[in-house]
Amino acid sequence: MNTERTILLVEDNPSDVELTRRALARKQISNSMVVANDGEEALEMLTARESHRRVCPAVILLDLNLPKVSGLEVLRRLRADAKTRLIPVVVLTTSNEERDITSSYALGANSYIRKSIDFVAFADTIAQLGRYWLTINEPPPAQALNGVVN
Amino acid sequence: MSQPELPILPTADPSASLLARGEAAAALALRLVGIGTWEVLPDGTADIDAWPMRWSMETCRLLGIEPTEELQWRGTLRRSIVAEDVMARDAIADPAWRQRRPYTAEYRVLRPDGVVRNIVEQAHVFCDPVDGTERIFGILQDITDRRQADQALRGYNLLLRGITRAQSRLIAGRSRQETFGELLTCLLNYTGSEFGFIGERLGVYERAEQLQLCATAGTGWDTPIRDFYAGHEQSRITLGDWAGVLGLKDGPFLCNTPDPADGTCDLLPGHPPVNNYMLIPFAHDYGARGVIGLANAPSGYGPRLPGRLDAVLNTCASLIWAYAANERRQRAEAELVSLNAELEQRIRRRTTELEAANGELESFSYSVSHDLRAPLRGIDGWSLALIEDYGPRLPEQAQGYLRQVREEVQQMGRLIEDLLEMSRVTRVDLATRPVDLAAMAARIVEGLCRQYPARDVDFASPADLKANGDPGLLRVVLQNLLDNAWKFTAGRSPARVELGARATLNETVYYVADNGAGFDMNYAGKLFSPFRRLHRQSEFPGTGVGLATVQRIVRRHGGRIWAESAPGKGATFFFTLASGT
Repeated sequence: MNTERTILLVEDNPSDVELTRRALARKQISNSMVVANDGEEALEMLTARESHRRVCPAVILLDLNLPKVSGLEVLRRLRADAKTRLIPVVVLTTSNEERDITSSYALGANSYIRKSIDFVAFADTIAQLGRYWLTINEPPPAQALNGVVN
Repeated sequence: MSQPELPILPTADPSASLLARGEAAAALALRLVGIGTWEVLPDGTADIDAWPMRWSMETCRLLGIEPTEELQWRGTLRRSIVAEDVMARDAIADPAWRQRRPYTAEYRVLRPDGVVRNIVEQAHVFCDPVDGTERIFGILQDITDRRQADQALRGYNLLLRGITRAQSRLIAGRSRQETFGELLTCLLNYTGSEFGFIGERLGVYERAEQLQLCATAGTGWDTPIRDFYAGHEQSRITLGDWAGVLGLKDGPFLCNTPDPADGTCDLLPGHPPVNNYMLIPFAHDYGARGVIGLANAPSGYGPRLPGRLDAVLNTCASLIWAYAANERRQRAEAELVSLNAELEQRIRRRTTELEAANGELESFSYSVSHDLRAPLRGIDGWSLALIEDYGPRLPEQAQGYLRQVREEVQQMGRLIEDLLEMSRVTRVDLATRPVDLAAMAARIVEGLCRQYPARDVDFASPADLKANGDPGLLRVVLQNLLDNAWKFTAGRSPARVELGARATLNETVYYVADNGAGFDMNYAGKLFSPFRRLHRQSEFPGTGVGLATVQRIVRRHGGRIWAESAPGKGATFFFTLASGT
């Protein structure tokens, strides 16, 4: 299991992935980002049987508009699974539809952030997110996560 | 004019004794009230006809016999009494005589002049104070008038009961046949007729006049005939010449001696024999017309009968009119119901279509929101990356182009944002409640002051401004109108913006006025169409969607929006919300 604090970005748009990586790189924190290209892959990474393959990020940045398994469905399954239900999830999406915001919180999202079209503003948001979840926020203790697993 | 010769008042004869005058007065009184007296002295023999007796003059007069005849109480009287009534009278009077009991008997007498009168006979047994013998003292009284009045009253009651019953059938919503059946039964009973009909007369021209039977009845009809006529209750009989022959034009027609030769007994096929009949037309003020026909009364139809049936005739006319009115109303109701059903079906169809369209619009908007904006972020991001990573190697002009690209992206982003907003205001459900537009505007103006700190705008508004509407949507209205006011007063000094309201007769007109650039009223029609702009982008930036959104919101509230302006003279936007708010 990876002991380093990482960000898991669930995002199917390669351009957005690269831009996010770029935004983090500007603050020298890009190395700690892992990417899942769709919802299915994210679930696999988070709930793998073999613990050495399992990702246990400090935060999940979750897009909603994903192929195969939608973002909201990913969130629902994460919250239903004992292994993942305490991991902080930040919904990061282009949508500002009220029902998306409501559904996200109802399913247990910790935060909802709308991606700006303005890259400067977007990069700023990502950098703040990275700093906050990787350095400022106190994550749930590994014990708690493991304890629940056992 | 000479005085008629008056009779001598017998009681006033001064030469007579007091007793004689008293007797004369009593006789006069009895004469005036039509009471005859008689006295019998039972002599103990078995032959009660032979008992001696005395008649008063009035008694003779009541029976119409000459006092000179040899009078014998029982024999003479029994000759006068109508044959059918004799036995009944004897059964009461004879035993009473023998047993010395008082009695009362009623019968009809047939006077020699042929007149029949109703008579009541009453008698008591007395004892003579002088010799102690028995005497039977009795009276005869003519009660014909009273009996006739009673009979008329009974008949009138019968008719009224029939009318009441028929009217309650109408009120209870029963069929025409049933209602008129009540009246017809009542008429048959009243006149003693064997059968009859009540019909409605239809058609303007006599030749084409038709009779629609409302009811037929009669004990004289066998089942096939009754069925035949019942069939006609649904259809119509053409009267044609029949109406003329029967004199329907001219009021009641009585025929007590029908004769096929002169057409007075020209019957429909299968009709039972007619011995006598009566036809009475009736009409209502509002034009309902009809005819009552009755036939086979045991003693025919008298000329005064139609007059006695006035109340029934009026009722028939009113009922015909009422049923016609009912039928008209029912037809109208049925039409209304079918129209409503059609309308509802149409609404359901439209609603389904609308829901489908709304659903499509929603998913369209959703995908616009996601899929159209994501590439914009890419364009912006990679343009910036180009400047950041390769800036030093790019000529100044290339960097300028890239900056231009980024500006266009932002404009495109705003456009998408505004479009989404416009589609949202059409989709969301209205949550109407009281709103203070002044407080709402104050918060928006605070935001505008922060956004444009360099601007100095004089904003006027009442302390509070009540409205009824969806707070979220009304905020969008004010935001857009105030944004515009701020935007178009740029360069004015002092810039003035005012929010207010005017109450008209039946609604409140809200307005946002400014002293900004204004616009040419010739283009006012294009103000509220999306993407229509009346100013160059370089003068006043914008997407041209804001006012279209505002108009949609106002319309969703059931209100109207319009503007007044002149170039350089400022603009005022007026709007109303649904009346009563």
